[in-house]
Amino acid sequence: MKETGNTYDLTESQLIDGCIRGDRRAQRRLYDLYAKRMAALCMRYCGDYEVALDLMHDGFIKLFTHIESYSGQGFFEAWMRKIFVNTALEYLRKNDALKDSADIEEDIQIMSPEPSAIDQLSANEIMALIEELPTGFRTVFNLYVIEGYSHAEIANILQINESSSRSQFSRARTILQTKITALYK
Amino acid sequence: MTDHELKQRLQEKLKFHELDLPANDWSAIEKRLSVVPSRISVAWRWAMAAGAAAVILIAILLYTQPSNSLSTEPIERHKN
Repeated sequence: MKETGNTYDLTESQLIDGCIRGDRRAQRRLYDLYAKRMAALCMRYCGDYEVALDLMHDGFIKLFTHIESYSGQGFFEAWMRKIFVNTALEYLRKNDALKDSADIEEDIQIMSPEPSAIDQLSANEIMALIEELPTGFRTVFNLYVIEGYSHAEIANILQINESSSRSQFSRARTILQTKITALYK
Repeated sequence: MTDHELKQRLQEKLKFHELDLPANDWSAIEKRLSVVPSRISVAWRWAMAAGAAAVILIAILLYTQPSNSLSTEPIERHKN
């Protein structure tokens, strides 16, 4: 296995080239740069630390074995995030975790958290609140709010109706509002 | 708060949020990487196997070709 010298001086595209060649140090450097962030991403979807670590590992194996398919267009991290999101979604599908809330379509009254309340919460506190959401709501919430997918895209990804995606997001939002309000009582 | 505002505020907080990892976490990935053959080497192995099979096939075809079926009669007649 080829290894480069000091990987800290390498640009992102040099690191990617190194990973394509199977350079272990380049792979390690890419891991050092993104592992914690990708683990947090996986944690938001599965809600369990050990499972999140396993998913993060699976994601990196996929990343390193398919990295040559990155076209170089668009941000590398955005491309990378898709791999980890897909890995987390595969896990949820395998465990039938998305099944329960797939058919919810009725409209509900939308409650929205106060901006100031969100600002006062730490990232860890928000993560904890999101982890408490039912899996289906949490998945739609993550895809829509954090990853920035549209409801049409989410419907396509999760094989549900667009209206179902909207109502699951609304419910997730209402549950979060209730929890945030309860925190400040 | 609109959806857009909610997205913006939560993305600011969570998009780059990081989770603490165990000290030797990389070794678990490294161990798995060493058993995953690289896609290039797999492609090379297939190409080499196909090449070797083609050479063997050509050799078999040449060997089993009835070489004595070519008549040497005209040459012999010419000699005579």
